[in-house]
Amino acid sequence: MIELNNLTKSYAGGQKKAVDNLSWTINDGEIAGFIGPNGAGKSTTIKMMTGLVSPDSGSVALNGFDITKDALRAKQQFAYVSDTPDNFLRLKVIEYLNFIADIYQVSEEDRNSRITDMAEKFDLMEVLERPIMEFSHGMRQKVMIMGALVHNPSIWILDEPMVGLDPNAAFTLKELMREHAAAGNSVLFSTHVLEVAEKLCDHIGLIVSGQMVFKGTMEELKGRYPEGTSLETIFMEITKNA
Amino acid sequence: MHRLLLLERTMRKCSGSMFASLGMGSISVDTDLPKVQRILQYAGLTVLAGVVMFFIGRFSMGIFEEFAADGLETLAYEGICVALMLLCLFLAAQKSLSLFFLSGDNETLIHMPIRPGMIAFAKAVVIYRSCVMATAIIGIPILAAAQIASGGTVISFVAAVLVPLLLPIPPVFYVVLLSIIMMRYIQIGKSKEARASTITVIFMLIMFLAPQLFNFMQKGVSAGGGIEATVESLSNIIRMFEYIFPTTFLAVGSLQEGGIFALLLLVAAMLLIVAVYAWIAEKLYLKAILRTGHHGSKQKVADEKTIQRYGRTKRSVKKAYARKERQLLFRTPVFFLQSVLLSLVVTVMFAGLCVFLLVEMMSEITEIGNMELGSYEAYIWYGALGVVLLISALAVAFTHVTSTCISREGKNFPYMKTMPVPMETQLAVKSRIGLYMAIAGALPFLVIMNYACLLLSVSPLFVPVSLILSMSVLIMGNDVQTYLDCSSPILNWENEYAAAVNNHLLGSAVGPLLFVAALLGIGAGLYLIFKTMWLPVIGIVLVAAVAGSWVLHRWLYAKAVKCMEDL
Repeated sequence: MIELNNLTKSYAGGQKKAVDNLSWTINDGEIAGFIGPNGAGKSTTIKMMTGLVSPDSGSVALNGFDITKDALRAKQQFAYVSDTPDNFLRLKVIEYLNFIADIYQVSEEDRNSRITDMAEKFDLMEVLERPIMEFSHGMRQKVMIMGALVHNPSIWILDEPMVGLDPNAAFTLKELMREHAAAGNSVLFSTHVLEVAEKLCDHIGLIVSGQMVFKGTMEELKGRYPEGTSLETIFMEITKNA
Repeated sequence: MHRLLLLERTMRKCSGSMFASLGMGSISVDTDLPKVQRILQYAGLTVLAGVVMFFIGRFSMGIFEEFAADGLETLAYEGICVALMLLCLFLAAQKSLSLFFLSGDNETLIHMPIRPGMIAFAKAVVIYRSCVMATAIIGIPILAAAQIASGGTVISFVAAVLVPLLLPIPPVFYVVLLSIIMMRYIQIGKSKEARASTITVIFMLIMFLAPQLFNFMQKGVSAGGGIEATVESLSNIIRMFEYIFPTTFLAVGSLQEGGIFALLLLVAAMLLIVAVYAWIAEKLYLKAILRTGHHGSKQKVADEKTIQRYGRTKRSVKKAYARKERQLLFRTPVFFLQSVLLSLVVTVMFAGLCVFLLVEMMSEITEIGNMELGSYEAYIWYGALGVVLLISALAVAFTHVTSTCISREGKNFPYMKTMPVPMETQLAVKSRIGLYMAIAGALPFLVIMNYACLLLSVSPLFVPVSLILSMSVLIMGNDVQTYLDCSSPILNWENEYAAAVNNHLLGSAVGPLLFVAALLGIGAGLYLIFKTMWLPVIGIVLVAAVAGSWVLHRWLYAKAVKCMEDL
């Protein structure tokens, strides 16, 4: 379960509010999509959730652990995929995955079975011994996703995870997200692809200029507009008026 | 011209501080500051450079006077010019690795409407600027002091300024040309980083070993000749380098009386070298780049056995973190060269020299050791401890592992922050690797010094005392470097070189060195007062050194961790 309570973050000496009093709860068993225009505050919110940025006020609780007050236990709860998959480029894929497994103290049996399973699903088995730096953006993204999931945490926080993925990998990731939520866990991901949010999410949060302008199910959002209005039109309408 | 300057400025900014070559990696002027502050920063740097240059000049004047008194003026000029060019060769070799072989800008620049020759030229200018910084600060005061000592003419003084600015051109020319030719004709393909590193290592070793070998051979020829033989040997070495840098005689000529013709010829020769380089670069650079593209690697097809092989050892968090640090440090050529190899080369070189001196002076040392030292033992103690502390300070200052520990993470750093590993643990592992490297750098010298002191029949107590005080300097220096990089890291780098030269501050070990030196001073005072109680005095100094290290460690670590959390 992810609980965001009155999160606020300002930059430029408090002159620009990147996130303004944002509250949101993602329950166990839910896939939540975080959508909004560029610069709306999605990444800042995600950074506050993962402990990369400290909020000016408000709190983040991951499975009940506060990311500020009980950082280490909170960090044990989630997997995070950043929007730039350029980490540890000099390591081989298999070394990177084992490094993450060691950090999270994953047993030998579990790590080997998870790596095998994911490498097959993401079609990376043959390149496990190659350095990450030789890969394209999409391949690196797959490696980062594998690294995030190798310790099988209950919460997944993914910042633009579909960017650069080929259709097969995107499909695999969506399937994994569905399976994970169905097992009673939480998934939150940010995206600009409205169709993905529409098809995948149980719950969406729409952020504009740092403020959460809508949170709820897709049906609730669509219910506010005449029947047949596309999500794209709704998105344009909301962001224009905000 | 405008494009060339623009290219040069962009490349220079991407390749780190210009002062890095002088051991002042974090000194730079913040161009985002208001004009007045920028001018003040420039003024401050100019004053700092002025002070350094004054002391270099003051120090070298006496040496030059002695050379001149023996009629060895020309030899002194030749030595200075050759030494400056060798320094440039060394600096250029390092820099050309990141600017040519490992450059990440090829894909961006080559498709732009810029002549390939201009790109290569701009890169050479970046290297030249980093070399000329060193030759100007070191060379101008030495040559100016030489002119003052020998009562030089106005032309000689002009030459004393111009020569250090022109001297980097031949070594930079050699290095960049060699880089382009190697890129063009040697297929380095996929493993280009490893091969480029190997080539640079070989190049550096040749640089250091060739003069030693030559010197050794000359010694064999002129053994037993005393000072004359040494001068002969020195001039032979210089002569060897004059074959490599044929413009040296013009530089030397321009520094001597009536050298205007030589100076003009020197300028003309340098312009010719620049023109030749521009022509060759235009012809070869594009072809060279096309050869260094990625050619695919031998595909090692992994399978489940591979997964089991890698995953059969579950490591503790600290061990896993340390392993990752080592892998990134040793596999990234720029980090390896800048942070590991440089300190190793310096260590091997100087330790070799020390061993050589020790062997040469063995009979004299043993003879002194057999004498009754009496009160002289105290002087030997202090002299040897001074050397040990200086060595430790240099070892920690030259080990650029801790001083770049956070900067090296770059884009990994935010990711590391999301991991459930306390910042203290992450920092401790990073810092410890640097400390071990510094200890490895200092250890050969410490062994040599202790052995020499034991040969001199100094009390065996010298061994633990020197080791504890040395460790104290190493630990404190390492902690200062840890804090420096936590408080001012470079994380948004595109070129690894920028991270590798961040916070290269030789001054990082000055504070710890002064602290321990002050303790020794206090110890000396106490010893003079309580002469019979020398053992408690040593005890007090050691306890104070250990306590000081511990307090500084705790204090700086707390501050460094706070900096990391705020990043």
